[in-house]
Amino acid sequence: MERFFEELKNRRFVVPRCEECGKHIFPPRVFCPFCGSERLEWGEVSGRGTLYAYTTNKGGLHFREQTVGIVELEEGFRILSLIGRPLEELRIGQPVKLEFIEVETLEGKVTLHKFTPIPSQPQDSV
Amino acid sequence: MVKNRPFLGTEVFLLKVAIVGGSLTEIKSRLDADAFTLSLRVIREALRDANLEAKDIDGILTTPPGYFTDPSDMDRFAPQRMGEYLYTNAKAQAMIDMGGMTSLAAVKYGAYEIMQGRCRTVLIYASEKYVSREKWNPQRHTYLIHLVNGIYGPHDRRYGVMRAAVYYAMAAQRYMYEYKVSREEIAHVPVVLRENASMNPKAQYREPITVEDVLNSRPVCPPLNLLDCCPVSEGGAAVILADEKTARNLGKDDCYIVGIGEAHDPTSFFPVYQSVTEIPSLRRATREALRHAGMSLRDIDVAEVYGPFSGTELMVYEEMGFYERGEAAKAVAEGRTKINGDTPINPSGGRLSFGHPPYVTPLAEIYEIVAQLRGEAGKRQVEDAEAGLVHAEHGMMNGNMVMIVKRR
Repeated sequence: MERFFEELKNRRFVVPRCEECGKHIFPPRVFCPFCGSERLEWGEVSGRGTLYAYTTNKGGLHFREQTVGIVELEEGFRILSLIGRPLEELRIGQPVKLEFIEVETLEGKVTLHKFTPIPSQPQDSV
Repeated sequence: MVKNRPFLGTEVFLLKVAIVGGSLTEIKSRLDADAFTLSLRVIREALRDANLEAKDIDGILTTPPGYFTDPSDMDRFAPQRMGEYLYTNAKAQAMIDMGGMTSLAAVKYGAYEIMQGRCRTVLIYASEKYVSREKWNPQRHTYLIHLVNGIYGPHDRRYGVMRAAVYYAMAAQRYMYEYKVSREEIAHVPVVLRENASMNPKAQYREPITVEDVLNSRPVCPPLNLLDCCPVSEGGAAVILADEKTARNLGKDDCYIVGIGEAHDPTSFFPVYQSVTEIPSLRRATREALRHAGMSLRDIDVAEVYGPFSGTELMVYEEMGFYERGEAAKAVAEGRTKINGDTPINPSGGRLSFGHPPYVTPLAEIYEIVAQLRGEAGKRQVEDAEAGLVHAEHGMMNGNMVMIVKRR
């Protein structure tokens, strides 16, 4: 997990990917939970995904009130993240894109990932 | 008559396990006794219920002393201390920890000791106390913040999550979305549980509520409101197990553990790869317990299940097989889970209204089921209850244990 947060500081969202079965692995591990292989390669992911679920985290550590959600990434895993819009503007399945945010925490300043809905394209008339 | 069955597919003949005694404090947000005093109180009452003396106890099993207890009360030597205090010469002592299913895991350990004939009697006890407001100083505050926050794992803890409701709310949202269940339908769960709790003098919340009360209660994590969530609770409970011969000699051979199932999913909180609206380990654990008991779900007259939030409570009913997926809310609204319904579930008031001291909860569930099977449940008695089911989980339904108890 350390490397994941280190790379976030450089605004890079990286996770290990199994070179045997091709799956992206989260949280990071030293071997692939699906096929057991130790041949893992860390690499950047697309940062594209859809909103799986969302709610408000009240009384959290770094924010008094913050929208959080679970994002389902194109690479096939889910992750808890901050969501950059109020609840009313969100819906399940909405496409989201990756951003970064610096936050003051008990462990000092850290960079976190954050996802924001991609505005839907204006509908072309057929 | 309870029959012995091959255990877990083996042909090994094992002894039968009776529940010979139990006790439970009232459940409240604050109790005016420390954890050790609460434990002693329930142990003495359970011994009295079982017609036993402390010196007769062969096994002492317990949980860590409370989830968010004051660090100074965090006695890592709890079972040793209790063995010394009771002055027993036990053949088994242990402190077990497996999240919310901890005390049920302890009962399972105790049941195995009895089945194998190593111990004749095993005491399982737990008490839950939270750090007091007076002691909540900044230094300890930091310690507790790390303790609470750390539950959610090395990644999520960075996001500052301090309550399980965040995750359970998102699970409820998915459940509503996938099965087209409305917010109003889910609100029937707290209402029915409160109605049951109103008949339970030990329950934490007993004032009847309406669907409107649930919908108008303070939003905690949308879509969950305050009345959809379990409260913070303190309490204590103890259960004593014995083999059949001992149980008969005590005149306490009315309830037997006849089935145990346990299963875990490869998840520790919100699932990264699996669906959050399905709980495969609960299905596995239920099937295993029923197979072990030689019973089907239809044979279960009353169940105490572990649903810490209204939405999850419905998923539990469905995953265990009481209802089809997406159908449980309707069944609850129709009154089918009420005490006089066709599938009475959580007559105690459940986690939402009975209260939820996590380490105590599984023992409190056993206490309720034994009261039901003995016909001692008073106003909330399920008529002719012969077989009961107890369920506990850890994390966010990441692992599940099911135990079936039957009247002789």
